[in-house]
Amino acid sequence: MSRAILILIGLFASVSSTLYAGDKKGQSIAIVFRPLYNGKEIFDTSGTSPLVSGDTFSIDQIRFYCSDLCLLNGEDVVWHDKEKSHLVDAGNSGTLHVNLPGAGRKYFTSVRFNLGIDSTTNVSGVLGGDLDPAKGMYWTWQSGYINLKIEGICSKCDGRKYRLHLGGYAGENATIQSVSIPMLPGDREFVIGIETSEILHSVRDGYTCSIMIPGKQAVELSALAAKMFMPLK
Amino acid sequence: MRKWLLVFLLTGAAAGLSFTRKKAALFRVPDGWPAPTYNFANNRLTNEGILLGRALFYDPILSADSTISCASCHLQYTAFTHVDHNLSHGIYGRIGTRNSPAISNLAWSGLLMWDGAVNHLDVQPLAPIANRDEMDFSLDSSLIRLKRSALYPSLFRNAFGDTTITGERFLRSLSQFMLTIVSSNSKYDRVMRHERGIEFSQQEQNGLKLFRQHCETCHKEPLFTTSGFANNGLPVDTLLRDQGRMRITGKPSDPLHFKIPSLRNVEFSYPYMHDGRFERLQQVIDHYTSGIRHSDVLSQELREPIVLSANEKVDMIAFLLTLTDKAFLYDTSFSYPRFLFIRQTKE
Ligand code: HEC
Ligand code: HEC
Repeated sequence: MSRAILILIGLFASVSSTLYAGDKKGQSIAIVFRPLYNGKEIFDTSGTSPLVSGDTFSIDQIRFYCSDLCLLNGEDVVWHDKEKSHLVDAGNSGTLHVNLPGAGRKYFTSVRFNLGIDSTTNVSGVLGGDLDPAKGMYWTWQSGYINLKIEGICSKCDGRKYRLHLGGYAGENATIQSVSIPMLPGDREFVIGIETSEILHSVRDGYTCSIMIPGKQAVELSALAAKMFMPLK
Repeated sequence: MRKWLLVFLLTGAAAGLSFTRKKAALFRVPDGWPAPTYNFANNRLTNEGILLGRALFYDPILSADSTISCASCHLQYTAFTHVDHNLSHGIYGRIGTRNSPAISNLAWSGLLMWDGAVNHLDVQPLAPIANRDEMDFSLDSSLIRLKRSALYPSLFRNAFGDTTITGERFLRSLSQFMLTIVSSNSKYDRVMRHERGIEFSQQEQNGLKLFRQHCETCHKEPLFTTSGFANNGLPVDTLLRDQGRMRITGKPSDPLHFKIPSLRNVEFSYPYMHDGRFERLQQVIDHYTSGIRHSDVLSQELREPIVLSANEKVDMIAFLLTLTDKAFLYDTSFSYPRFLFIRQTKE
C-alpha cells in the first residue's frame, strides 16, 4: 500500500518536473495585445497616449477584461487558463502581455477568449485579483463589471471628452463577447491587434460620446468591439 | 484497506463536526427559517473578519470629509435605518432621493436596494461610498486611507492573515459583519417557537389572522418579505418621479415596482416606503385600505380592495408591533465598537 503511494508520488514529481523544465526551455508562450488606431500604435512604451490627430482627438484609456482564455485544436479545448480574467490596460504595458503557462506543449489552431465577464461571475459577490472592484472596472450605482472602457478627447463631444463604458450581463443587455482568432503553434509570442478605428467612428462624428449604462447601445458597440481583435504578424 | 477507509472517514467526520460547531457560533439559522441565500462557503465568517467589518461600518473614514459612516444612516436603535427624515441625509447635508431601508437578515436577501440595483451583499457598500449625496468617496481612496491608518492594517492582518488591504477583503469583511445582523427574537418569533409563557393577545392573534389574509403574499413569514418587487399602489411622487425597478430592467412591466421591505422591527423603521412618505403605521394601513392607486401596473394581490374595520386596523397594528425585537435593537455585538476606536486614539 504505502509503496504504491511512494511510487505514485515519485512518478508525479518526475512528470511535473519535466513539464516545468519544458516550460523553462523556452516553450512558454504568450499573447501580446497591441492597441491600434487606423493601423498605428496608440500607446508608446511608457503608457502615455499621444494624440491621434492634432488636439482634436485622442485615446487616453483602453481597458478590458480578457476572460476564460483557452486554446483550441479544431473544436477541442486543449488548454485553458487557470486565471479567470486578465484586466488588460493599454496604459500599463505589462498587462498587454498575457502568459499562457504550460501551453507551449500543446498543438492548437486557435485561441478563444471572452471580452468581458460572464453573468455567473457578475452575480457571485466580490472577487479578488484583477476582478477586485478596486480596479475601477465595476459600476457602483448598480452591480456589474464594466467589460471595456475606452476614454479620451474628441472636440466634437460635449466637454471635449468621450467615455465608453461597455457592460451589462443580464438577459438582452448581456454584452460579453466571444472572440476567436486563428493561431498556430510555432512562435513564442502571438500578437493580437486591437483596431479601434471602427468602434470610435461614431465618437469622432460626435454622435456617441458617452455610454455609461447597460442597454441597447452598449450591446451594439460591444458587438463591434469583438471585431477589434485580429491576428498580426 | 478497510482500516484506512475508516480512519479517513473518522477524520473527515471530526473535521466536519468541528467546522459546523465553529460556524454555529458565528451564524445560526433560526429554527424553522429557510436556508440563507448568501453563500457562506465563499466568505467564511470569522470573529476577526466580523470585527473588521463592524469597525468599517461605524467609521466615517469611508466618506470624503470623514463625517458620515454607514451607521449615520443605518442606526442600530432604529433597526439600522434612520428615522428623523424621509429621504436620507448624507455628506455636506445633501439630501438623497430615497429613504434608507432597515437592515437585518441580509443572509436571506435577494436583490438589494429599493430598485434591486445591487445583486449581491458583497458589492453593496460600493454604492453608498461612491454616491455623491451619501459619502461622495471612492473605494480606491477609502483603501488608501485605510492603509495609512493606525488601526486598520492590524485589523486586516487579524482577519485575513496579512496586512494587505484590498477591495475584496474590505468588502468581504463588511459583508461578514452585516450578515451577523440577524433579528429573530421578536415576540412573534417566540410565539412561533412555542416558548413557554409567551402568547399573543387576542388583538395580536386577530391581527396575525388579518395579516395572513391580506399581506402575507408579499410580506411572507418568517422574513416578512418574498425578496421580490411589487407595486403597492402608492401614487408617484411628482417631484422625485422615482420609477423604481424599471430604472434597472427598463421593462415596461416594472414601473413603480419597489422592493418589498421586511416588516421586522417596523415599529422603529419609520418613516415608511421608499421615499419615507408615511410617518405612522396607521397611515400605512389606511393606504392599503383606502389609498391604493389603481393602474395596469398595480400588483395583482392588491387589486381586490382590502376592507378593515377600525378595530381590525388596531389589531393589525398590534400584530405588527410583535415584530419588534428588543434583543436585536440592543445587541451589543452590533453596536459601535468603542473599544477599537478608543485604543486607536491612545496610540
Ligand atoms: C446617506 C445615507 C446612507 C449612508 C451613509 C449609507 N447608506 Fe445604506 N442605504 C441608504 C439608502 C437611501 C438606501 C436605499 C438606496 C436605494 O434603494 O437606492 C440604502 C441601502 C442599503 C442596503 C440595502 C438594504 C436592502 O435591503 O436593500 C444596505 C445593505 C446598506 N444600505 C448598507 C450600507 C453600508 C454598508 C454603508 C456604508 C458603507 C451604507 N449603507 C451607507 C442610505 C445610506
Ligand atoms: C403586492 C404586494 C404587497 C402587499 C399585498 C402588501 N404590501 Fe406592504 N409593501 C409592499 C411594497 C412593494 C412596499 C414598498 C413600497 C414602496 O416603498 O414603494 C411595501 C411597504 C410596506 C410597509 C413599509 C415598510 C417600510 O419599512 O418602509 C409596510 C409597513 C407595509 N408594506 C405593510 C403592509 C401591510 C400591513 C399589508 C397588508 C395590509 C401589506 N403591506 C400588503 C408590497 C406589498
